Amino acid sequence: MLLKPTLEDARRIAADLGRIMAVVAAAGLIPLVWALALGEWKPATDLVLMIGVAGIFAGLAENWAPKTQKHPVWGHGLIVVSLVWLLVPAVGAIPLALSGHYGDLVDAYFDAMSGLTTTGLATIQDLDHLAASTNVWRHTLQFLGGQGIVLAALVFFSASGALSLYEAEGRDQRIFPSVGSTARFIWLVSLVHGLLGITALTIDGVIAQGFEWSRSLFHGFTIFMAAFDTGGFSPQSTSISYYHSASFEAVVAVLMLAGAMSFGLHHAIWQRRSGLLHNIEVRTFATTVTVTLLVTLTGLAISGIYTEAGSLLRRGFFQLVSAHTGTGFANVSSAELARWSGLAFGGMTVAMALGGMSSSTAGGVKALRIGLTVKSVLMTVREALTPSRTVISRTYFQYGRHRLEPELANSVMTVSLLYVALYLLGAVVGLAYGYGLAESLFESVSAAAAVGLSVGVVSPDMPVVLQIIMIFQMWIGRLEFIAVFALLGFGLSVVKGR
Amino acid sequence: MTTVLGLVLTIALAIVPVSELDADPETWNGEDVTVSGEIIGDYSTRDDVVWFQLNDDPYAAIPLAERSEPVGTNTGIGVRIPRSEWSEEWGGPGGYGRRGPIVEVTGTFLHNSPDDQGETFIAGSEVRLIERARPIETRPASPLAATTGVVLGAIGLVLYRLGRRPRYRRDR
Repeated sequence: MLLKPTLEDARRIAADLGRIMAVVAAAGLIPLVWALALGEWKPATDLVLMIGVAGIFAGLAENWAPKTQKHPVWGHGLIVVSLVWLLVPAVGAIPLALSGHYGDLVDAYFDAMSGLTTTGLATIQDLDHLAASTNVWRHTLQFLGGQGIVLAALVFFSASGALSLYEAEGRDQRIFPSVGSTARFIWLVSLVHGLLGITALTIDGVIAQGFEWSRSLFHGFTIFMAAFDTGGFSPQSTSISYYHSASFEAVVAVLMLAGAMSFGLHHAIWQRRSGLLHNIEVRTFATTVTVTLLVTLTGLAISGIYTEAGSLLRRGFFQLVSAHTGTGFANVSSAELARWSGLAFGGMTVAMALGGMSSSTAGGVKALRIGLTVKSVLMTVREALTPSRTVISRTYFQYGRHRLEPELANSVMTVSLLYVALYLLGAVVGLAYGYGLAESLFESVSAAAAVGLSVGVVSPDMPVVLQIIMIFQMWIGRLEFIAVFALLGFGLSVVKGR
Repeated sequence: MTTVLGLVLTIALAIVPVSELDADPETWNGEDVTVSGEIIGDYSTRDDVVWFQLNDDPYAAIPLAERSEPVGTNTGIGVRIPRSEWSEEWGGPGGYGRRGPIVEVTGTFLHNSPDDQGETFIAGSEVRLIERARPIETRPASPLAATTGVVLGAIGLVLYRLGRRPRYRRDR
């Protein structure tokens, strides 16, 4: 029997939503300062409006649901997270929609969702004349989304339902016993990478590329946020190919890989723990990157697009890392990428679908699920092939030896299959609109796995239904299904519950 | 003025649109071409060459700020020219509040150039300035948006502070 949610349930959810909106309002100050410093007055007023809307939302929610006695339960966290990832893009789209660079509100919402989910697909027009502060806001959205906006709230507020919020956002690995400490560690890792990454990119911009200091800092700041949070937005319309610099691409590749690593692995490396290479997740990620890279490079070599080894390695390696980490940066044009056919195209698509590590900023099925699925299948095959009295070890190593219980195997396989279904959904809709199978599948995987690479389907002129499907794919793919299912259940219980 | 510029950009003989190079790069590879458009972003000055991005999209003729609505995404190509061809008198590259210099670049179109680690660009040998960079009148700031934002934010802050007060003080 479905139980109708009580007013206390709604107040509990509103309280957490309000606190997260307060974080959004505070984050809006970053581009606002940028706008005031550069004298970008119109973008500044748009940002003030956005901060005000987020602020009033936070105030109303906090006032309506002060110190509620209702103890948060697992379902509350799931519903809060699924709502946050719908509402924040709506508020975050305000400065985008008012910038005059979008055809309509759906385009602005699409880009805000793409930013927050760290996808990187864009329908913005005339990006090359966009105000720097609005650009910084697009990248700040990516940073908030990559870090986990709920996680940001957990750093500032000691919520009693912290665990449910934390895990509902697609993070299943606590580094410290307390969620607050874990959240602070994740932000510390990001800040250290930020300091190093922005410095390296800025210096490269000045020395290797001859940019002005201020512009170089702008490029370094925005590209870092998009690279480490595996987002893929770029301040210029030609993505990373704008820079014409191998050294810049090398720094970006390192940041993308760092972003695709789980924060648990970051912690283990900081602690200099041994045996990390035995982790099933590390092994799986290293294996899939190597295999898809070889497939892509082989495909490129066969196609003869690049006639010299240096060109082939530079383009193939960067694009593959960008795809596998779910970043979506490009050092070739969309038209060029569309010409990567056969094995190269297949290697890229599979890499996008697999994604990075769990509890990282990357999307996709994730290496841990892939590893456990493969292990489970192999165990089942071995059990079938060996005599009935033979004992097959059903364990795996991930920061220690664990038993691969049937429930866990079922769970990872279910989510993996849901991702496959999500990839197919967008592809089918793309096909229905007359796009080719390869391009439909590529763009669908790119949206659902939060990658952002495009071969030209995503544009301001794309069909609005396909655009809405992709918004849905980005949202549900980023939250890894469960939170969205909880929201649907909540909606159903509101309507049909007793 | 903009009409004249548009004509220069679109119907001048021998000018190849970047979209044509993009659509059929193998055919154009190694050919001498002339492209025309707006320099945007940055000047990347490296030793004896300068790199820049040249956009030949509709915004080069009429900037977005001077249009009623956007008309599509940017299209352009990277250009590398000898430093001797570059002049500071062109003005700064295009961006927010500035339409970059409009130039005509003649050079060789190189697609996935093996000598340049697979770069696709125009190795320019000659640059002709059509129009210097100029400021674009950006959309005016919105006092209504700012006032609304400040008022909403202030109310939100007060409500938030009230909501965070301990319950026993509210119950009295």
